[in-house]
Amino acid sequence: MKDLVKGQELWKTYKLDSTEVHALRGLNITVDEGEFVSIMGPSGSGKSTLLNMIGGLDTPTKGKLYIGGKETSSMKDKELTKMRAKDIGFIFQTFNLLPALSVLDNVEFPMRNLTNGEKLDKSSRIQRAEECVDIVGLTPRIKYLPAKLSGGERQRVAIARALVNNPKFILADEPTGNLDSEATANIINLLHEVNDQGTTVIMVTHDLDTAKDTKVMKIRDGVIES
Amino acid sequence: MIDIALKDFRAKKGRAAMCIVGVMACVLLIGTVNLVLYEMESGLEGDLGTVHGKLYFEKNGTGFPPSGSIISENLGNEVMNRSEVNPDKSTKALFMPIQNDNFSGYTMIVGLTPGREETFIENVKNVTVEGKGSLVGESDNSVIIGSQVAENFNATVGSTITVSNHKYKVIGIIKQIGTGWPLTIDNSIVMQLSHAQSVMEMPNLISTVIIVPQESIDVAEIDLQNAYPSYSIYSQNDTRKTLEDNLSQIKIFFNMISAFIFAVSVILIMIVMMMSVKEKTKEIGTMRAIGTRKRSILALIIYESLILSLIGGIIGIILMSPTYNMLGLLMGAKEVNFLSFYIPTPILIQILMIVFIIGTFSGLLPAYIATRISPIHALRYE
Repeated sequence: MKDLVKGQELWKTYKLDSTEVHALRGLNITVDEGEFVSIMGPSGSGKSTLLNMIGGLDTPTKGKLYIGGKETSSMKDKELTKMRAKDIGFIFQTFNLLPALSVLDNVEFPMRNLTNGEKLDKSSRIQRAEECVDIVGLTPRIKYLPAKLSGGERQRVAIARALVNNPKFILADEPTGNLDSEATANIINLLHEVNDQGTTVIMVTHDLDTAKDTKVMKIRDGVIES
Repeated sequence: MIDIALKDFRAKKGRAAMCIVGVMACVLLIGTVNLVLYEMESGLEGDLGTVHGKLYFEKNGTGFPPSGSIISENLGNEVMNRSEVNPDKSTKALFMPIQNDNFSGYTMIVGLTPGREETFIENVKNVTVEGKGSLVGESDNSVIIGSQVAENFNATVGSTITVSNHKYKVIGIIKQIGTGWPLTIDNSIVMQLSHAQSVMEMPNLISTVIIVPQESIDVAEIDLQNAYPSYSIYSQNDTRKTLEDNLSQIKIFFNMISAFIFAVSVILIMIVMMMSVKEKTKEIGTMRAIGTRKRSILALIIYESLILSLIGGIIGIILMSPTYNMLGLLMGAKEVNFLSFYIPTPILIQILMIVFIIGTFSGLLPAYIATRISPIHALRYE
């Protein structure tokens, strides 16, 4: 299988006043296409930093990170933005839906971010968004604003939003962190279904149960332990 | 992004209402001020008509109306007899403003040689006189009055008015000049020169000679000025300059007020938009994270600001006409139709430009700040 994400000797160093803080210390990671990877680790271990790098929101201080074969540290902001729009689907712990937009509009929104040539016309975008809303089982709530939905439903909308551009992989940052156990089970099942369809999933989680049936990578003090 | 901006602003009605009211107030105030200036400029064209094609011979440095000029009637006769002057159309005149306790503003007594009334009022746009337009053959106490005087005294043709303890019979009313703003001619009481000299206790004195030249007005002006270097030969150009000088001071004052209102509006909307950007930090971070380009974020904030400005601007424009009419009523206009929608095209264009500028300028800084938001920090923002 092809490497989708490959990090070699990744370092991330922040300066706090005159002190240097190393969030990542020569971390190596490889995620193959089609995998469901769970990144686990205690707070401050570097999980979020790693996730931000893989998501093209941050770049390493040292080392090389390849996403889909492209080295990201040399990419300009424009290219990273384009990559995030096309290749990555984000799922956040706090859902991060746009509150003024309906379920359908939230799901449709990322398709507006595609550049010319990839961008669909409005009716095709609506059709595709409706398909994704259907996949997550929220068609009856398609016109609702996020405020009218439960936590589990909001996260399902976020999953639909992440899927809508057919990304190379989905990045889920503690997607069940704000959900009850029933909703957690539903969301994890949904992510597995998405993974079964061929989409790579990289998930950060604290919960061993949610990481069941996934490839677990433990991170501690800025390096992968196992 | 316009549809997103619209949905966003519908979701934040309170904030949107604040912006709309701010722009509306700005447009209403600036628009009304500009409308007043526009009307004053138009109205002053009426005053200019009173000197069109004529020269005013008067004491040096007096200006128009020449109520501050006093010259001897003998000098006036000498001027009247000069070759540059058409004696059949020119007239000696006495201008004297008087106050009346019954109403605010001034009334101008204008004493003229009977039969030369047209020299004073001719060339004024659309001038018509109800009743008689000439004092020839009339008694000393006959007067022709301007529309404002008629309104102040509640006078009609044939009625009697009392001015400075003298009773006068109104034989004619000069219909309103201009567009509702009181002008010199509207405030005038035209009477026989000899009678005006008598009641004003100015025997053998006049203010001016209103000269209709025999031939070229420019040649007459130069010749007369050369012959009487210590007197002013006041022409239409001088009058225009005086009126424009007076108007320019008002313009500067009003423009300063407009600029202040404009600045307050821009700052108000900018603050509201900044608050909006601050509130939406997490949303903007999310948008950036999922691949929204900086220019799209920029467009979103500017669209939002423009939409709010446009709505406020349109409401302001709709309310401008009744506000102007109300102001006109307070300033002494007679015929006011509150249902009329009268905004001259130049003013409308000016206001729409102001609305556009407010919308763009007030959105620029918040939009720029929005594009600088780091998605990593924004996603952590609570």
